[in-house]
Order: sequence, then structure tokens, then C-alpha cells
Amino acid sequence: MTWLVASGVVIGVGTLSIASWAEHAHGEAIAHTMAVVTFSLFALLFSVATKDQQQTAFSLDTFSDPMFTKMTGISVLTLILATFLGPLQAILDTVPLSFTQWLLCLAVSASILVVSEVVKAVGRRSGQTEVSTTV
Amino acid sequence: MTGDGVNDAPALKKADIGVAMGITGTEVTKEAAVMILTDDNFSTIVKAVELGRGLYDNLTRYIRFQMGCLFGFIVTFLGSSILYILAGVPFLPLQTLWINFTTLLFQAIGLGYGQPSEGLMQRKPRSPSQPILTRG
Repeated sequence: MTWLVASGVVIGVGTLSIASWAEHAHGEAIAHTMAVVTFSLFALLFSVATKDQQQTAFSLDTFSDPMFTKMTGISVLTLILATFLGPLQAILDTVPLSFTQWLLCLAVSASILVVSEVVKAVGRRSGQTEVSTTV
Repeated sequence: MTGDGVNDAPALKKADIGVAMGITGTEVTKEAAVMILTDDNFSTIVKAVELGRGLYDNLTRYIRFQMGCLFGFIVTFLGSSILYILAGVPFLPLQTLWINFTTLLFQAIGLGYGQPSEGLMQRKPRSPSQPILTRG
């Protein structure tokens, strides 16, 4: 539970950091869009991190699961469409983002992977070999 | 406890897991048991355990993911209100729905219906009373 709360804090702080910066630098429309993109990327990367509580996410096994890989691809596609497709822009009040803005969102959201890997590494080093199916 | 005869039924009922034989077992035994081996083969129990562990693993992954994202939403909205970022509304209503019905939904499906983790059968058994949510 502690890990889940910590993850939530990382996700929230990261999203709000981007939103706050973008609001002052680019205005409300881009700030909202970047907040949506950042949070979605956080969720996506968090799902990769939670796929296995012991094994690192940076392994070939992470995307050896066809169902998970397919769903991840669909998530990425819908996220991109939400910012680039005209009708969706009108419905969701989003605006196109530049490549740099996308990179910024991705860099901040990657922090959840970093935190997760550190926690897993500590767990492996402390010799946790018991069933880790608790949340 | 495994059994096939009527006299095994009380023991099967009382056991943590009662396993009845599907071919040679009586109906009374099957009713009392939690698991029925349809091929009367003990090695099938291993497969059943593997499937059960896989199901439980997928369930906990799904719950972990949903809870983590839920806390993320809480912190985001609470933080936005307290710090007055984007006038306290970090995501517009339809944007919030979009996140929930696309990324969160698809990733939850991927975790819940995906392949179980590697090495599940090498892990130690889990206590039946062990909660899904713990403090750690």
C-alpha cells in the first residue's frame, strides 16, 4: 500500500509540475494538454512497472506478452490521436504539442519507472524470494 | 485431501482443499470437494495450481495498477486545488473521462488478461488469509 501511495504522489507531483510550468510558459490550453499527456504516460509506464513486482521492466520479457503489448500500442495511439486528430481536439479541448513538449512529458513521466526500478532493486538485494503477490 | 468414495466426503469437506476424482469419484464426493480432477490424474493438480496462481497474479497486478492511478488522480486534483494550478482543474471533465476510458482501461485489460509473471510456480505458497492490500 505504501508503494501505491508513493506512486500516486510521484504521478501527481510530476503531472502538476508540468501543468504549472506549461501554464506560465504557454498558457492554459497547452497546459491542460500537457497535463493529460503526462498523466497518461505516467499511467502507461506505471502499468509496465507493475507488470512484475520483482523482475526489472527493462527486460525482453516485458513486451513478450501479446495482449499487454497490443493494449499498450492502442493506448499510445489513442493518446497521440487525442492531441492530433481535429474532431478529438474539438471534443477534448486539446491542442497539438511540439516534439520538445512531448519529450518533456515523457521525461517527467519516466520518473515512475526510475522509482519503481530502485524499489525492485532494493527488494532483490534484500533477498525477497517469497511470494510477492501482495499489493 | 483427495478422495473418490462416499466415505471420503466428510474429510474432503473439512480439508482446506478437497480434491475429488472426476471419473471414479461418486457424486457425493464431487459435491463435497472444491476441486474435481476430470481425468483422475494427480499431475493435473499442478496445472490447476499454476492456473490459480496466474489468475491471482493477474488480479493483484490489476488492483495495484488501478490503486496507483487512483492515488495519482487524488494527488493531482488535490494538489491542483491547494496550489491553484490551472485554476484547480488540472483536467477538463472530458479529458478525465478520456484518460479513464482509454489509457487506464486498455492498460488494465492488458494487465488483467495478460500472461502471468515468470517463475510463479517457484514461489512459496501464499497463506489463504493473506490480504491483497498490505501496508508494505
